[in-house]
Amino acid sequence: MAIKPKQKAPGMSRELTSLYLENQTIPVSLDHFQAKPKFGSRAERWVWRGFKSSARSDDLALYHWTKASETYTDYFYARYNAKTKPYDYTDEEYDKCIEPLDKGWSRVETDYLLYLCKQFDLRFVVIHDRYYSHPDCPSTGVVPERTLEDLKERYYAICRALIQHRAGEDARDPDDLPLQATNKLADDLALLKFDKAKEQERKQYLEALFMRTKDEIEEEEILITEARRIEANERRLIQEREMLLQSHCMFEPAPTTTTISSIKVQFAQASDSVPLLQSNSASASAGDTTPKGRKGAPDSSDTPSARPMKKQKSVHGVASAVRTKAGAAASKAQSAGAQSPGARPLGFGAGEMAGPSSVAASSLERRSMSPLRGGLFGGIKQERSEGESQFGAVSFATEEHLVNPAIVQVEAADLGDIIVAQRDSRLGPGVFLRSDKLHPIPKNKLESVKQFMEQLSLNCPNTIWPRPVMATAAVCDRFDSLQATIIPLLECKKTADKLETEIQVLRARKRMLVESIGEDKTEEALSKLPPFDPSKVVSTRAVTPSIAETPVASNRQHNRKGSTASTRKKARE
Amino acid sequence: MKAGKRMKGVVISKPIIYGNVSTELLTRKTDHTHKWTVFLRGPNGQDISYFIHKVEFKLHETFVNNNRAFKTPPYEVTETGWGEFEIITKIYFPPVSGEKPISLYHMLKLYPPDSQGQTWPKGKPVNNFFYDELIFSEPTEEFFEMLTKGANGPEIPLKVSGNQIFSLESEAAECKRLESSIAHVSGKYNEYKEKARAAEIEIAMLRRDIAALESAS
Repeated sequence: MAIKPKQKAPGMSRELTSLYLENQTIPVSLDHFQAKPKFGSRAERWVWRGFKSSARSDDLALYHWTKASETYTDYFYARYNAKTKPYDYTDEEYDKCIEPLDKGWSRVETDYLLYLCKQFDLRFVVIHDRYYSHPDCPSTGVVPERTLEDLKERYYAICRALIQHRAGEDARDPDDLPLQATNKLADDLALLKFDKAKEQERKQYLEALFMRTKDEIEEEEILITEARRIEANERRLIQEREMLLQSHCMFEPAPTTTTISSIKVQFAQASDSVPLLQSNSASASAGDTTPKGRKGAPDSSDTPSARPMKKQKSVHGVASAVRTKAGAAASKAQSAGAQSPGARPLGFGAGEMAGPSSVAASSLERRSMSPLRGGLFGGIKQERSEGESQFGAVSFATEEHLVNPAIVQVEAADLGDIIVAQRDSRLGPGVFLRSDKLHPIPKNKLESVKQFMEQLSLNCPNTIWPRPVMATAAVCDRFDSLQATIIPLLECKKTADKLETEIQVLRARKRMLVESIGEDKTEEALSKLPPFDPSKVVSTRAVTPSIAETPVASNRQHNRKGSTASTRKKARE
Repeated sequence: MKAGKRMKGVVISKPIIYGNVSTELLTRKTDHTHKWTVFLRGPNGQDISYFIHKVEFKLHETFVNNNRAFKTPPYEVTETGWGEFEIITKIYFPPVSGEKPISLYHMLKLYPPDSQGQTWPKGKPVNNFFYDELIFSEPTEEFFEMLTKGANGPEIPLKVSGNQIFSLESEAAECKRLESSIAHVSGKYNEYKEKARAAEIEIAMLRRDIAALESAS
């Protein structure tokens, strides 16, 4: 539909309409420059004045406009008429020091060269150009086909020889000379140095660069960009491999893993001790059949189960009291409902009290000096929870209640040796939040780790930082180790993916080469490689070569993993 | 108040639960849509006031008297409102402890998570609870006395029941889940490590072949 130029949409300003409708000229308001020139002062007088330049020898008078106020001595630009002062020599000097320099140069030609140098202000290109065509060129004694470099070399050699000669003529001992003078001599000599071979080489290169064809230039540019790309990739890849290696190192002997194993050891102990504990509690309950179980408390202090508590010092008095109470409650509950499933945890509870080793001690630490788990039996209702747990449906086995953090023994001045969760032992004085003391994650990895955690649905919802749902010492220990495992995993995955793309690229390149060479020649070329048997060449022609028979591992001695991997593969096949 | 001598090496931890409950208001007199309670308490409902001097809840500025302080339990604020915001809970400890107050940052949650927004039954409370532990590292002698003498009864329930959603059972379950995840992740890690190694070998081999072919062409 054609738009009529005068059409105006209702409710739109003219500018908007013209922007909105195509092919219409947009009115542009031109700012007219209205500022008036300001005359702060009176205009200066200029005069047409004749001048002479000291740079001219012919006294030519020229005219130009200048300010009337300007006092005038010499032409302004005459100062740039710098004259070089080529070296000159006397007959004596020539005989003494220039004559022996180069037998290829006659006195006549040398004189002529110096004359040209003077005339053309050491502009060697001009000197060289006029060398044979100059009207003053001597008819004899000029060697034909002097190059520019020849002329330069001769001139500078003369200069150096003269300087040295004149310095030598100075009657003073060189050691007596002021430092400045010796320095100046050295400077002069350095400035007059001329390396003919290098100069020729330089010109050749320039020549070659200049003579390149268009195709060559294009090819070169492509090669350069390609090379840059390869270099950049190489650097990145090396960096990534190093990072991977680091993360391997971080992962393999990682202290976190050791704490895990220590936890596991404790688990083993715990579950080992369970039967013992259960039998203990069983015997206790067998002996104590009264429903009230009032004897439980005093009795238990005599049974072996109470022994570890005695070792702990007086502070634990509270704790052990609670424990004994708990023991009583336990036996009470057990006697009450020995057959109910609820009795199992009780057995465990009693057992925990009896636990001879670090298990009991550590749990003591955990609820340190305050009611222990054992103490739960008193208050707890022995009913199955109906409510939905936030943690998903998990069936509990007895020993699973024994989750302990990694622990260390600390010497406390007032209490003797006490056992403290490893993660708490180095906090220093103060109050802390358990969840604040998780290992921090590097900021750049935070998002990916969090995402990963959420995939595993382990992260506590509604928080910025990954955080366990229930931040007890035991959970935090495991949470930290999980994070410490996730970070290398993510790194490793990234590197593996990168390597995979690199393989794709290399494969494509190889395929291209194979196509361009032809399969027969390929086979021939590859068979020349010492480590490849003909049978393997067949396999390399396939898109996926078999790694098992690759002897590449020997190339990668810096990476022992390579060889182990290949041997493992071999073993698998 | 001068703080007494600190007990080197001693660490005591006390579990706490903080968070909020919110229920949608079915009859609205104002633009407030939810009634919520933010609280701090022990996981087993036990008394925690023996080691706490004062608790302050700092609400959004738009609330009247937005800094609510409590010297005695229950440490909780019930309000009505329509928006979610961050509540800073500041816990002060007795002067003898010589400890600075500690702050908990809690995002008030009124609405069910997005994934369950459609299926959430009307009137069902939305809970957003956090379990944490206060670690008293190297307490003063007086505070140590308070911490140990004041304890009365178990601090963490054995099982989940009603309002007590953090229990020893759930801790154990959580540990188990984390451990299996660690195993899973390490397995995956080894898998990728193996993959990377294999890839490196193959790259080296391809490079070799390519070099040979290039020199042949």
